[in-house]
Amino acid sequence: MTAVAAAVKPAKRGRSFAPRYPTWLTLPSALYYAVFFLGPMAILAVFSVSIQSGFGSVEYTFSTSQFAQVNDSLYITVFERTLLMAATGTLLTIVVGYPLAYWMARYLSTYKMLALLVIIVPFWTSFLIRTYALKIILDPHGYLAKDLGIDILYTKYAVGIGLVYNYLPLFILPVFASLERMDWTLIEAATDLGALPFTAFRNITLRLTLPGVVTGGLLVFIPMCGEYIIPNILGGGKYEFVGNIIGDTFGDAQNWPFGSALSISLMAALSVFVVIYIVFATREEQFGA
Amino acid sequence: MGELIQEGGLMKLDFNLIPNIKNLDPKFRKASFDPTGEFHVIKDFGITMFFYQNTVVKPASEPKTMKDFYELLNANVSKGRTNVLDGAEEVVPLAAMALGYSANTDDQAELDDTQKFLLSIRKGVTTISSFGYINDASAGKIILSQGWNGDVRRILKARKKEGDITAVLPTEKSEVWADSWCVPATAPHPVAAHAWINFLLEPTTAVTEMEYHSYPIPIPAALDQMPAETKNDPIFNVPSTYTDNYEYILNPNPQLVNARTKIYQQFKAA
Repeated sequence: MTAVAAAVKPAKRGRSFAPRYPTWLTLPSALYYAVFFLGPMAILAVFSVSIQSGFGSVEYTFSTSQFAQVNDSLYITVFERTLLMAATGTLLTIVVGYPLAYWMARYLSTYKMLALLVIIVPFWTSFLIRTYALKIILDPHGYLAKDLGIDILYTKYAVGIGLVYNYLPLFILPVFASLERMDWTLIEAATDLGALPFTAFRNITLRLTLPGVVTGGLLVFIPMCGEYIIPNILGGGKYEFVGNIIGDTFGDAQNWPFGSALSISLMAALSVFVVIYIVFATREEQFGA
Repeated sequence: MGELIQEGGLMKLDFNLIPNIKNLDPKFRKASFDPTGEFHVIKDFGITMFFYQNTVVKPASEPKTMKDFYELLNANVSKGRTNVLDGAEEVVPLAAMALGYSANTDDQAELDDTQKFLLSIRKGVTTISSFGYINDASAGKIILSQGWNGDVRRILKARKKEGDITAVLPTEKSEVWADSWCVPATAPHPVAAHAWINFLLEPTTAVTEMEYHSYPIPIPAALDQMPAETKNDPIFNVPSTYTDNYEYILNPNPQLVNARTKIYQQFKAA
């Protein structure tokens, strides 16, 4: 028995070349995430079920009265308008950004990086400065209004243009990356087989880059919903987004519990879209373009 | 400041460290937001008024009250940009005062009236902003707006050549407000803070300040040193015949502040 057992040696495991990282290396980033993200989220959650006891003071208890207040028709209307404005802004961003990203990925070779730089450079300036720059362009006494008759400052159209202008680079980058990864020989094969260019675009390019478009769309839609500066500056303070309501509640009313409940409600409403983003981002990672 | 005093956020001042307090007009030592006068020293004060471009806005009769201002909005918004000052603590109390109510009313019926009134003039408002209106009005981009008296004075100076701005001190109710110096309860260097306040109460320092920001500082010796043109300007030195009707806007309790904030949000979202 012993000889048999000795004769049957266990198979020697080959050396694995898969990278192995000690878990403790993630501790710094996990700590940063816990302190600067999870911590404030937890504080927000605790405030949202508390009661205001004074200016900027909170009585810690468990009450859903703040969320009951969120159900008021004023806030529901503002939520609906915000989602509609953000959806419109996102659609316009897709309409403007996709052709630009397509042209850069498909037809530019020598100047591709330069075009990318031109898209990114405005991001190097402050968001507030960019919005004020747009305000100057749209000024009723400016060339656009005086010479072309496009007088839209302090209207919802100015807010829409501001949203597209400020978030366009955020959409173009993931879509461009998606288009860059695409195998363009598929288009050549399709046209060789008799497909019309638009048919090839619709059935191949659009389908393969759809995860990138959805990712880019959600990357702009979600921050648009929380916008504060653009409605204030380009809308003349007249177009309330949920972000403005939250700002007024914390700043003017110093009602931290209700402001927290509004913030949590906005996050809950947007979480649906975040899940969609994760699904599409995962699919794009798995299947690529 | 009233809120900070209520919440214990301010330190009681030691006036032994501020000998120049004797320079301040005694009438301004106490205020409704600090009834004992122990927590603040007034920095400057002002009032809320309104102005219009007389080449564009041509009212049938000379507007005299804040209610007249609101009633001009709907009729003139198509001619150019109209503006009201922003913030729940400005929009709601000013509208309440225009209706003859107290700025600090917490009567629900009066607040409901104020809300209805604001919604009725909402379409006449192009912008709701307290920031940047000085430059825009100086450039002739605003035809009708509320404003603080020091800012309106600067606009009048800037438009002197065109001469097209009419400024109106409301004859009935409006807002009087004050900027004040105070020391936080947790201030690490309170002695230095007291020395700073004492420095600012020197008449020569006050003159420099007034010439810069165009708001009066109630130090009689400093006011006497101001040029006659400034001293006698009713927009700088607002006569008591007007200010006797004006009120400080206070935040007496969170319930009223929340109610004002909601009315303000309804006004903006309409």
